Amino acid sequence: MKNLFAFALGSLLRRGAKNLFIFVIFFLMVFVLASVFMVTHALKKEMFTTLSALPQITVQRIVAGRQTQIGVERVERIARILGVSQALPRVWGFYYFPRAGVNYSIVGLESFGQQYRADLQKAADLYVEKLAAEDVMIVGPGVKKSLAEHFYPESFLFVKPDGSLKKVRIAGVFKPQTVLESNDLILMENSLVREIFGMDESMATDIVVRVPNKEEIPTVARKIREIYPDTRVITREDLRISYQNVFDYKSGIFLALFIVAVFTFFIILYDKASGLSSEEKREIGILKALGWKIGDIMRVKFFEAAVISLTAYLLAVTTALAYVFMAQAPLLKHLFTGFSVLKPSFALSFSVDVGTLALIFFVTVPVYIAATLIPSWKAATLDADEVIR
Amino acid sequence: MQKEGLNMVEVKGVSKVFNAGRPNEMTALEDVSFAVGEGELVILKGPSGSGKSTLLSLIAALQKPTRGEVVVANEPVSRFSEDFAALYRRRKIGFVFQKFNLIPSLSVYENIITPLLPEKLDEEALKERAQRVMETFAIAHKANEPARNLSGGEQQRTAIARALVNDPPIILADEPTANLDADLSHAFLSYVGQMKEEGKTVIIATHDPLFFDLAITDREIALRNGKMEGA
Amino acid sequence: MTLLSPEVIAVLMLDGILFFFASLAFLLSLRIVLRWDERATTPLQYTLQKQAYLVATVIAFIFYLKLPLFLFFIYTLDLLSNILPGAMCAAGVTTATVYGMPLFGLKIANLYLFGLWLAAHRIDMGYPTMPYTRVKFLAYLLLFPLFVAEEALELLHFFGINPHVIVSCCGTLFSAAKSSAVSAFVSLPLPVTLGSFYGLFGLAVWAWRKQRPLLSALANLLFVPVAILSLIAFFSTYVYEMPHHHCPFCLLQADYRFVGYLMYAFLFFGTFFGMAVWLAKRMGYEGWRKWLLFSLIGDFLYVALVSYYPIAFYLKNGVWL
Repeated sequence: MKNLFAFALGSLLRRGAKNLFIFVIFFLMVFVLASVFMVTHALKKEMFTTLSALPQITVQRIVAGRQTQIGVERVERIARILGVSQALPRVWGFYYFPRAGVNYSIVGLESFGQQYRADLQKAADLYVEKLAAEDVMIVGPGVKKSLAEHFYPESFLFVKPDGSLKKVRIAGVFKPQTVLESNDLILMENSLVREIFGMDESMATDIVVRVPNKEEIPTVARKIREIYPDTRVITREDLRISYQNVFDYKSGIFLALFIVAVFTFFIILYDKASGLSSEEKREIGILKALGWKIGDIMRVKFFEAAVISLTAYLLAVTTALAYVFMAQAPLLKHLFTGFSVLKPSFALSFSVDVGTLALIFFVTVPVYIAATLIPSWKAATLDADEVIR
Repeated sequence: MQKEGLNMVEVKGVSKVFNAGRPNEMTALEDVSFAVGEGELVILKGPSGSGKSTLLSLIAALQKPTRGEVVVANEPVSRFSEDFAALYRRRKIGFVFQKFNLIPSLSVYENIITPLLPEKLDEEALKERAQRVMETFAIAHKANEPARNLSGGEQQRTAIARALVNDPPIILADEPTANLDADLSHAFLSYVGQMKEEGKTVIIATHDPLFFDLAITDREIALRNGKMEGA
Repeated sequence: MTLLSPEVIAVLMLDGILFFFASLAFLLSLRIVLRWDERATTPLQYTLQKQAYLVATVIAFIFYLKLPLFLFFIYTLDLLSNILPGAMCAAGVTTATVYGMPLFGLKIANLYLFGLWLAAHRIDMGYPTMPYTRVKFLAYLLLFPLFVAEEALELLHFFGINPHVIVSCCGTLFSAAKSSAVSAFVSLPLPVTLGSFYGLFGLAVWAWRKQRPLLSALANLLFVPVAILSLIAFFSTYVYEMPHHHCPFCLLQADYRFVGYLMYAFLFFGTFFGMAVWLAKRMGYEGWRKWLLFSLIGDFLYVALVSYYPIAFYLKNGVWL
């Protein structure tokens, strides 16, 4: 067995050019697949980290199928539901800055009030006096940078719905735990947000609800729906599943396309492996005449395929690791995060699991070996007596 | 003429028909029977196309007879499965081909050990066995030379060394001198003598008159159009 | 709505490839069974002999791919348990459709059957004339429908999973309160469960002592379900150190250092050779005593590993769960 393996290795090297071609193509395919899966896996993990910071229940008001403002008076009624420890109105929205071509997320804070997120609480505590005293904002690092680029190093002029301008000073830069979400973030006092968006005092964007006992979340969600039939009640669990589905769907579609490509490649491979040169045919004939079994020759062919596919796999996965996590996946990252100037400037944090590697393995290596099965059999059962003619 | 004792190779009423039942049907051998005793040297002679090569490949179990049977050392090798036929070739047969059929990109040493590779032998055993035959046939100094760089004589000696590396009791040679000049042909003859001395059973298919009426030959079998002459 | 996770697509694609090869092997086997004549020297017989190699290679490929793919399949189910509300591990996903449980059973059975076929093939190849060729390929013809059934169930299962329906978690599936065959076994008195478990292991050891292949095959055949059920009913609770956590799947998760993979590998190894040894003896294979020993080693390792947990627990805490 060991000797046959050594023979197979030698045989691969002796036919270097033909094998190198196959090796390179296979390597590239595994590399593309591995990179895509690693990027999605890293993004997915990032997403779930973000998700775990979200409120357990979010209540939105829906009018004519669209989300609209919700009355803050509902907060009290919701807070009275059994199992709810806290209900808070949120004031937030997106502000489009045409010159930079980006959307900022503006999130309101209630100074001296409770926040629904630990990181926001920290920021609020830190800047509470400033936020309450004057018209200031705390911005994410990306926002700070893009404003500075457009000559707003200190403050910014927001355009209100009625066309008038509102000047807001930058009081600090916000650095929470995940960069993906907070890079484009602007924090300010609730009343200021309302002023910029032209919202009424009694209205909020949505209401977030905290339920300490996980088991009670579905019940609480149902009760809110019953009390306010015009609301959409979203639980964190729902979001997690739908995110998961979106990711699965995206990478599923990609994999489906990839499989088409893989099969095209394997038809080429099949063709190349079946078309034996006369020299190869003669060699197999000689080996058989010298007493090699069909199984011995098939074993050598199998070793050849296994060595090519496994080394290409290992090399491609390693290269993909370097490309995605060290070089931060140039080109590819944008495909998954969009071309917005702010959003993509986050780091893919290293995250690989055995499952992803196994998945990449299963859609490439066995398929490669399968494609060589029939050609190897054909080669191994060639008539040996022709060499002694 | 036949020696007393064990029959090493028995060919019993063997016929071989190619493309049976089709318009291009061709009878390569017809009712050929003979026996070769252990340690005998037999020359199969006849013009090309007379069925010599087919007969050798039947004895080597590379093909199966259409009718009849080949028995080697009391085993019906013509009825073996492909795997057993291969095993039989590996253990019992040393084959010297026309044109030698070395693998050009492999070195002399690698060519010589190819028949041993499917066996469970370690590196040491492989080297030892190869060394023995390479020394016998004076090719050890070229052990690492690719076969494609060898001269005719070196190729010949490598091919013979390869045929003998598994120490087979039977040597089959198919037109071994067809591509050799007179000197190398005579050299081959002396190797044949050496093999016979070692007690090997040797069957040589040839139409080279050099092999006719040799003193060391035990018998000559003449084939013509697939039939044994004088049968 | 169907699930379109990359893992499911990968499993389905490999199923497709396996199906192609299995069908090819089926057609060739059919021809071999009908036309094989070991004494004939016709070109047809010659072709059939060559095709027999292809069939055997293809079956070997299917088996050696199915082994790791089985683990990947469980892993996929584990992943899907993240999406399905209520499911905590593969158990919940398996029961998400009515096809899940039969699919699992059939998958395991097919692994054994394909393995046994390969063992028989190996033995047959040891004879100069391959006397069992016709029987072997006939056996494959019977094996093929089982394979197709497995694939069909797998399709039905994956496309039948509805991500909006809440499924059960293993805690309720394998609890004594529920009325299913598994639950019935879980609620059996402990002495009966453990008695049959160690009893069958004892029988396997005895079969080895007395060198009885048939006895070994029977003991090991029964040992597979009994081992799995007693794992659910008794041993798994000690791995989890929770008296009501009965589950054969959670063992495979990282929380328990993947010990389940080791357990199932031992169990498969031991019981597989335990059954194959009968086949080996029947076919006159000389190495059957070695196989019997392999079986003993595998069974012993399995028993030792699962027994370790309750014993260690008792030594540490001085009580049983």
